[in-house]
Order: sequence, then C-alpha cells, then structure tokens
Amino acid sequence: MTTSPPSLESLQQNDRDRVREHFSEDPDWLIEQRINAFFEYLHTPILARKRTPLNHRQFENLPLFTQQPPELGGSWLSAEMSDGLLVLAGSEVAVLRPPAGRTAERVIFTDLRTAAMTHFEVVKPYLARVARAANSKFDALNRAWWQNGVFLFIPRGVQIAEPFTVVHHQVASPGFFPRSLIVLEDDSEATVIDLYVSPSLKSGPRSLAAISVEAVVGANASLHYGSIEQLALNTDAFATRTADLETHARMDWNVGSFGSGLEVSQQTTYLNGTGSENNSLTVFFGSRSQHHDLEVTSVHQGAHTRSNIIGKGVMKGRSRSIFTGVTDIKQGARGSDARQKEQTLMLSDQARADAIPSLLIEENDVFAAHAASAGPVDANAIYYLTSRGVAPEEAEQLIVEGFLAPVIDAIALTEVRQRVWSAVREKVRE
Amino acid sequence: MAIEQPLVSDEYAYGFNDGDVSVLKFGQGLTRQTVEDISRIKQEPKWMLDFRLHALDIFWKKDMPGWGADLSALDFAKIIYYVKPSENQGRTWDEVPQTIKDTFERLGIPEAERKFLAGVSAQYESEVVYHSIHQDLIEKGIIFTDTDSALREYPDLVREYFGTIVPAEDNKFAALNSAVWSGGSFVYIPKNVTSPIPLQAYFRINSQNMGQFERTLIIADEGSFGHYVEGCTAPIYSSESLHSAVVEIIVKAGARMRYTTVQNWAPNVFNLVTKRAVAYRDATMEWVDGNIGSKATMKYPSVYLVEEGARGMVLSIAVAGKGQHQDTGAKMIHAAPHTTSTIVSKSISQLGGKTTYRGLVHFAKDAAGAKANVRCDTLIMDDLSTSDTVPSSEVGNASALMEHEATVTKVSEEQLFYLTSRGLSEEEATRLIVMGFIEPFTRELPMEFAVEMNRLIKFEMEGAIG
Amino acid sequence: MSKWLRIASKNQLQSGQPLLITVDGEDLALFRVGEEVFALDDLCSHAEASLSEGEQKGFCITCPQHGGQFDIRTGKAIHFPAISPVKRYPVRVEGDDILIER
Repeated sequence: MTTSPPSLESLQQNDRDRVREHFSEDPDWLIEQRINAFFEYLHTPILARKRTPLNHRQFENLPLFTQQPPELGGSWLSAEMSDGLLVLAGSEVAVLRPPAGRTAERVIFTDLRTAAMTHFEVVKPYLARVARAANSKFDALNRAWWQNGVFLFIPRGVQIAEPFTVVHHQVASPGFFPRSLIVLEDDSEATVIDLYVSPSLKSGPRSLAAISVEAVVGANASLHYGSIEQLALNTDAFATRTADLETHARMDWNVGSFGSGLEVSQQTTYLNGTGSENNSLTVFFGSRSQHHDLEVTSVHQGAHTRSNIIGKGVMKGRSRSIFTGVTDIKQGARGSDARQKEQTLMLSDQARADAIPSLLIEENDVFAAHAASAGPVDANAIYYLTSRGVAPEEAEQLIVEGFLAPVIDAIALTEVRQRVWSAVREKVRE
Repeated sequence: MAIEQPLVSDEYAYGFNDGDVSVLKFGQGLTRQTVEDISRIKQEPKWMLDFRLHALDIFWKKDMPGWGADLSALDFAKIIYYVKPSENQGRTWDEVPQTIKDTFERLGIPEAERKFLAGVSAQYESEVVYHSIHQDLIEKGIIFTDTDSALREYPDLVREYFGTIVPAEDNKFAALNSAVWSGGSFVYIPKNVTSPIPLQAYFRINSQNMGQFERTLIIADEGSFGHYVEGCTAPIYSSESLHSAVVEIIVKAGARMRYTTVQNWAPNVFNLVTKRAVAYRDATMEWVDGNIGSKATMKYPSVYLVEEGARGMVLSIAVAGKGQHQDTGAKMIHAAPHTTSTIVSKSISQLGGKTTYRGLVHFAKDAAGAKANVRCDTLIMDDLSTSDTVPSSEVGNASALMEHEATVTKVSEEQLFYLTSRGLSEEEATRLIVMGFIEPFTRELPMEFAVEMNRLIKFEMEGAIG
Repeated sequence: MSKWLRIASKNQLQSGQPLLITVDGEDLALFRVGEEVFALDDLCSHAEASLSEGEQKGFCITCPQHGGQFDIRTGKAIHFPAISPVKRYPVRVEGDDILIER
C-alpha cells in the first residue's frame, strides 16, 4: 500500500495561520522557514528509542503556549550584573549586557529574534538548515516554534576570554523552545554557557521543551561551550546540539544534565576539517524517577581528527539513565584518534544505568578506544575521609560533588555557579 | 547406494518401516506438512511434535531481526529443511570445488578426513578409536549421543530440559530450529563425575548431523566437569546456505562446563546460532568460540548467572575476510549476588571484511557484589575493512562492579618495524603479530585444534598481505 | 500514599485473555483465571515488550517478544530469558468493579 508523501502544500491552512499569528512580528522569510519546519515536525515520526518508551507521551495534545505574560520570580536576576550576559524569559529579553573591552566591539551578542532582523544576512542561512539529527522531530519543532534564544558572532581573529552567559528561563508555559546559534570565524576564540532554568524544580504544569544549540567553529578557532539543564521535573525535554568544525578547529563541550523528568538529548560534533578536535564532557545526575537518555556522537570526516568523549553519571532514587557514546570514523579520516570513557556512580539499588559506548570504524589507520565502568562509591575513598573525621554521609556527598565538579565549576559567573551548586547539593541530600 | 552410519552407537537404528516413509518427499520450502513428516520419520513422541508445530507458528509470526548482519539474501522458500538419511547420497570427489580441496591440502588434512568433510564419504576410519572412547564414557555413566537418539532413549531426561533455556519465541531462528531441528548432541554428566576426555562432536558427526538445524542439549549435574569440543578448522562445505543451530546448556551447582567451537564456514553460509547456558550456585560455564568464514555469522554465546557464586566466561575470536560479516559477541546476565563474568573478544577484519562486536552485561537488582570484566579488541588489517564495536551494559544494582575496555587499531607499525628489522619478512612479521593478538584464545584450545588454528591463520593471512 | 483505584469493569476482562489498561500514563496488564483477577506492570522486565499481548495459560503469561514467562499471581519470572520480576499490584473485585492499589 503506497500513498504519495505529504507535501508542504498539504499543510493545513489553519496550521500556517497559527504560525503566522504567533510570530507576526518576525520577517516574512523567517515565518516561511518556521512553516517549513512545522511541516517537517508534523511529518517526522518520533524516533523509536530502544530503552526509552515514548509512545504514550502524547505530545501532540500539549498546547504550545499560553497567552499569559511570563513571570520570572526574580531568582535568576542577580544584582551582580556582569558583562556578556543575556537573560531570556520565553520570548522576552529581561537582561542584555554586551561584552566589555575594545576587542569585543565587533562581536555580535544579542537575542536571536532581534538578530534575525538586524543581522539577517549572517543568521538566515543557519536558520534555514534542515534538521540533521536522528531526533529530528523535536529539532524541527524547535526550528518551527523557537521563541527566542541567543546569537553570538565572533569575527575573524577576535579572542574573548570573558565568558558569555545566557540564561534561558522556563516560564510557566506548556512549551519551551530556546535556540542558540554561535558562529566563530577563523582564528577566533570564545566561551559560552547556556543555562536552562525553571522557577521551581518540583511543581508546575506539564511542559514540553525542545532545545536547540548550533555551533559553527571556523579554521583554527576554539569554542569552549558549557550547558546546564535544570528544568522542572514535569518537563519532557528534547535537546539537539550540533557543532560543525573546520580545519584545526576545536570544540569543548561541558554539559550538565540535572533536571526534567524525561530528557532525550543528542549531541553531534562533525569533525569536518583536518586536524579538528572535540572534547566532550557530559555529567548527569538522576534522582527520584528521572529518565535521562543521552547520546553523544563524534563524526570523524577529516584526517588527523581527535575526539574524547567522557560521560559521568550519578544515579540514585529510582532514576534511569542511558548514555550512548558514538565514535563514527568515516573512511578517509586517516590518523584519527578517538577515545571514550564512561563512569557511573550507583547510589541506589532501585536505579538503573545503561551504557553503550560504540565504535563504528570504516578506516583502518586510526586509534579508537573506549572504557566504561560502573559501581558504588569507592570504599577506599570513603575510608580515607572517615578516618580523617568526616561523617560517612558527608563523605559520600563530598565524593559525589567531586565527581560533578568539573562541569559545574566551569561556570565562571559566581552567583550562577553557586545557584547550580545549591540545587545539586539538595539533590545529593535527597 | 545405502549410506552406512559407522559413527553411531549400536543402540541407534532407524526403526521405521522403510515402506511407509519412503514416499515422503522433502523439497524446498517449509510447510506444516514438512514438520509433521520430520517428526513422523523420527518417530517422536507427541509432545515433541506439538513443540515443533507451536514453534512453526511462532516462526511465521516473528519478524527478521532489525539489526545485525545483512540477511536479505536468505530465501526461506529455497531451503531444503530436511534430508532423509537414505537419500543422502553425498557427492563425488569431482564435484567438490577446487578451493576446498586446496584448503584441505594446505591444512594437511588426512585423505580419509577430506572425503568425509567434503560430504563424499560417510566412512571414517576412526571408527575403532571412537568405539573405545565411547566405552570409557559409558562406564562413568556419561551419556553422549545425538539428540535424536537421546529423545528415544532418555525421553524423560530430554523432556525435562529441552526448550527450557531457549524458548521458541526467543528469536526467529530459534523458532525455526525448534520446528525443524535434526541432529546435534545430547550430553549428560552425572553428579560429581569428571569426563575423562573432551567430548568431541567430531566423532558424533555424520552426514546427517552436518546439517543445518542442530539442536544440542548439555546437562552437567552437580559437581561434574565436562569439556565439549566441536568443529574443525577445515572449511565446512555446505550446499545449503543456512546453518541455524540452538545450544542449551545447564550447569548445576558446583559443576563446570566448557564448550569449545572452532568453525570455518564456507563463504556462502549464513551461520545464525543461539547459544545459551545457565549456571547455578558456584557453577562455572565457559564458552570458547572461534568464528571464521561464512557469509554472515550472528552468534552471541550467553550465560545466565542465576545463583550466588556462579561464574561465566566467553573467550571468542572472529575473523572476517572478503565479503564476510562476523556479527558476534557475548551476553552475561547477572541475576544473583557475587556472580562474576569475563568476556574477551578478539576480532580481525581484512580484505573488505566486517566485524561487529555486540555484547551485553546486565546486572539485575539482585546482583549485589557482582563483577563483570569485558575486553574487546579489533584489528583492522587494511583500508578495505571495517569494524563496529557496540557493547552495552545495564546496571541495576549499586554494589555491582563493571569494567569494560575496547580498542580498535591497525597492525602496529612500531611492532612491524621491530620484527622486520630483525630479519622477518613483512608477511611473517604480520602473521606473528596476529598470532600474538589471538593468543589468549589459542592458548585455551585443545592441542590439535591449536595446531590447526595456527596453520589456518597462516593460510588466511596469505590472502591478506601484499 | 497508596489508594484503591477503579480501573476496569469485570465484564471487560475474559478468563485467559489479558487486557491492557492505562492508568495515569502507565500501562498495566490485567489477567483473569475463572473468578480471580490479577494485575501486573505491562512492560516485560526483560525487554520493551507488552505482556498483555502475550499468551496466557492458566497462571502463566508468556511474553511474545522472547518467550520469557511470569506467574501472574506474583509477577515472578518463571522461565528464561526473563529473570527479573514484574511489579504486581494488589487487586480487589467489588461487584463488577476491578480496583487496584497504587
């Protein structure tokens, strides 16, 4: 039985109207892009994930937005207003402070909706790209319904040491669609942290989040990227993160996954250019009944490319995690070096952690390796601490915090970092 | 020409009335009638016929696996599912392909064996050797016979265990085997008995058992010890392209069982096997598995460690040459406290071959203090070949320990340089490196196998270098 | 805090024919043998498969995916490849109503 594939024309007129109405302030070309993406969303099936049943979630029934104005609750607006800070609440820009210093003058750091109008010649081609991820349904959803996000553009040769911090605030609304687009031209360097936070972790209506992050790193450029996800527990979150690297480009990922009841994320780094390099650290902490399904992929196209994927998880309560590391070395990526390491700390017998470190190799002139381990907190380490007067529960807490620190301490903004630590410490004590 | 059956024991005889069954025809394809006829010829009890028919229904309903080797060339309608012994005329020596004859030559296989392996002759001059070994076993109470005979002679014992480890629903090929199985071995080792010699399936093989749907059932009773060895390094030539076997092994408390297989399938064969063992309290199960050749192999020997102190081991090698895909691995299921497992897998892909390691270590909630160690390494010999390593672990207990390591590399240039600068040719140096790579495996083989393995590797490498 | 929830009516459930019921987004499998009713998690403990789609023989349910079997009275695994138990919910039958405790 064959039916002809649906066409963009067949998209219901009232669906198009919904998009136009909701994003009436956007330029026409952007509205058309959103409509195309919405079509993609409607006609892409949900990717069946072997260890994460998604059938009964009934996403289509969730209304996407409410008309209420966003309430921020003030907790993420700090008196410490540093430079290079953007705070977003839904589509509203709450705070925007540009970076300081002379070298930063040519840098573009603004919210994405504004950038689509003021810098459309740079932004437009990226927004038009089709979803490449296997999880393309939710990536397409974000491309259709993104409310706002960040656009960062670092011109050729400019290197900024101070980090850019973006706070994406999940306001009380059924849909949360933040989008980040980061473009580094040749020989540049920057540090960016995306924070996804919620007014309250434990309560709130059921919400669907589709997060998208795209980075383009030019020749010899370096992007140090961090992300912390602390969305409410009633959130089903789908995150798609991609980076395209040119010759001798470098991408560092530091991703912390602590919130949401369900998270399905895919992070893919395309090592297109010769000598490009990817270091990825993902830290996740499952508690209560959280379910994290995280996939991190390095695609080696260019010769002499390097990747190092590290996954570190802490599991307690009845939580469940799946960490899939994929090293995909294509033919022609000669002289490549790819490693993976995955460690899981198990704190509860009711929790479950699955790890699938895969190596898919089509080129023989490479070195690829992976290592994975799982187990309880090291008894020797506990002994070391208790024999120095630390109480046993505190000892365990210290070890777990030490495990998570590499990702959280990468947040340069003190007050933000402290907020994340206090939320995580609460989780450790649960 | 009637085929004699020199390898079988005196008790085993075709008891059916030739007149009745001679009219039964087995052509290509599989129908309910085929299954009923197979059961009738073997004069099976009703429960086995019901078992087969139930399995046939499941086979029809089940989908092909959505992962693994490419099985699209497999045409179920073209396969002959049963060959009547009286019709198994064998082929003439002239009909055997030259490549196979060449391989026998190089591997130094004695002439009588060559004809036997090529399906030309069912005579095997080791008959005398076989009979005297058989006496030793009988004295100890060890049962070692083919599964068809076992069903006739030890029906209660077979019924107690048959299908309990691998149910027909397990996968499509287990269902197929459950419906049309024929041949295979049945082993029972009584309590506290140690088998004096390895149980060589070699002696069990007759032209019927060389067939495609062997069903093997091994029971090692409490405190016993046995070593079962099957296969040979000579290429197994088969006109039938599907080999789908099921092996079920039960290792009771304190017992130890090792199952060694080295098989070198001809390049037209789909080798799809379900091998599963269950180990009870303080029992040990070891799979030593060598997979060479075949068009596609899918095989994941597994051990279910269901009581405290049970131990499992899989030591495997896979060599994939031109046009071949070895999709192999291991599964260790820890369902009890203080169980331990080890998986060592070595794969080599060359001349465009592909190897895939697919493994699973599962710690159930009850697996307190369990330990698993996995080591899988792959050598990709040239730039035509590929390899995938897809291990998975599922940790459901907080005190279980799992460690896993894998590497994928080509032959080390430093090592090559070191050896060639000491006077070895590149070919010899490469071969030495490969031998070192698979040494953890070859050191566990019975001597005669190890010798043949070395010769086989030498032979395989010749195609790969230069 | 557990409570009793009415989830189905007795005449929806035939003896020997499992029934899938979704409660609060979670799937349960209901079984009946004569006048007795049992409830288990529908998700097989061995793989992502639905027990209510399997074959029930007396107090035994066979998962259609790989043939693992469970005792519907206890949720215990009774045949390989299933090894871990499936969660069982206490059941009360009041008149025509089937209630479970969650």
